[in-house]
Amino acid sequence: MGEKLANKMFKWAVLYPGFRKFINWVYADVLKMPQYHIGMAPGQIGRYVLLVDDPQDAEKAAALLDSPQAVAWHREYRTFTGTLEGAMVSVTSVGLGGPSAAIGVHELSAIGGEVFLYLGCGLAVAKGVQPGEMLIAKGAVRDEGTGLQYAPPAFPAIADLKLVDCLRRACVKSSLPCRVGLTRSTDAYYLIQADQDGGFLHTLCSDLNTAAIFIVSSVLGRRAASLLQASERIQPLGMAHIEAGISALRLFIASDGRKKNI
Amino acid sequence: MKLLNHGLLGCSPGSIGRYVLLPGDPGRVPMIAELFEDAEEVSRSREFCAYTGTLRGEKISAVSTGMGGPSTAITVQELAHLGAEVMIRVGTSGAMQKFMEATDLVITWGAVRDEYTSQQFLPLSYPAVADLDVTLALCEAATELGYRHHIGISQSKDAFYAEHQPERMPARHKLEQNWFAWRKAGVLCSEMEASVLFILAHMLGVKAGGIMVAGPSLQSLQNLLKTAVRAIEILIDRERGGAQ
Repeated sequence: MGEKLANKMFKWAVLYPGFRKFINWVYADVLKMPQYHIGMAPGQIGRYVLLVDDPQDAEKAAALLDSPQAVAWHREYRTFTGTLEGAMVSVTSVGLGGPSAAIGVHELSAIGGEVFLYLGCGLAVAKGVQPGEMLIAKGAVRDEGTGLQYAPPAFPAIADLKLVDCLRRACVKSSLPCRVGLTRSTDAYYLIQADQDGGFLHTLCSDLNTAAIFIVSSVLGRRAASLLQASERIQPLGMAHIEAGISALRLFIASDGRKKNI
Repeated sequence: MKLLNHGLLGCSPGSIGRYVLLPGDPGRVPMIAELFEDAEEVSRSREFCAYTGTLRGEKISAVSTGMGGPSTAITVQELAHLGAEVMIRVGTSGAMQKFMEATDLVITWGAVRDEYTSQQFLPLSYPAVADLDVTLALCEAATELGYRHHIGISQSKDAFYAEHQPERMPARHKLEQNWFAWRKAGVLCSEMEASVLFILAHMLGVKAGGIMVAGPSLQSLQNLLKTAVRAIEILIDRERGGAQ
């Protein structure tokens, strides 16, 4: 009987958007059930979330938070929550590529995530960029498909202005060489290598996640930014890179008086 | 970049400053030039009108772009060729969100590329995004002068009346659908030039920014111009401070 009803409700949810909205509301906001893929419910993460690709990196970054605690690990989404400057901050790994990053950001937004800072590798860098340099993406070329289902192609994949400013100030403070520019986000990692020489036209580097994270955050009214480190291949994050991200978040938290986006 | 042997702006080399304000309407150029010192007209042809003066000893110009992408692209390319390095679009727009007033200022950090001109320069996948320093200076100026402002994304369109009278257009449903999509995605205002300016500036390696009034208010336009001029002062001061 229960199964029959559940099947029927599933069918209605697929057929009727209004019913789906109602069920989602009951599920997430009334019953506070965990989100489908990340396995977490409201209250388990902070307003500020550091995003990385690799579950291993999540653990490494979490070590830099104050009193970090492992919260959940489902599929590629591994989360730790701790504090910075007295504010609750989480680190979540979102896997490689737009599809998994979009699910991650969407579900994190649903349970209270508002500020997303992505740390990743910048591949196929432009001429003149040295390996190890910090590349701050103020925008991303949308060479990927996930964002297209969130917003039409003419919509710009751009970072949050304040977060970009904090990232640059954090890099300058710890005297890391940094540049502000565009990254090109692609779906096909093994095709990046093909145009490695001199990078992609008018961009600093290529990566896999940034555009999807920017678009999903914009559409959902959240803030996002991306700090990439120029590297030859996708590799574990360096400590200086993670520290720069953490110190940018500290700067942001210290200056963040407003709750509303835009 | 090589231009055709005649420029359409009619500006001679050396007549344009490193800092340029870009209104759409040629009639507003003299009004802007009143905020400069020793401003004088350097050219007037078609929809392009240019005045050059000084600000804190630095040469600064105001040049009208005319309405829409094509004439803006011509202006930006010619100005970059003439040595302009920082371009700020100043103009009017239409508010798209309920929480906005028609007198609010909008600082455009990015633009929806709902036009075709910029697509002839870079593919649609590129984001039209402003320069970080210019945008931060505009925010700082607006905060300092105490004007209510928003920071966000504007929509740059080609057809003014397709947006204002979609019911008369064959592609009515698509136009209405897009309008819904932009509003839902949090776009703040609708105008006609920002995305072309940002894409071309990125391509030509110059700095660009944009600030707009969310309605046709003349008083707010004055506030906007004061903000833009103050932002340029901040940029000049910062550059000099950095050089010391």
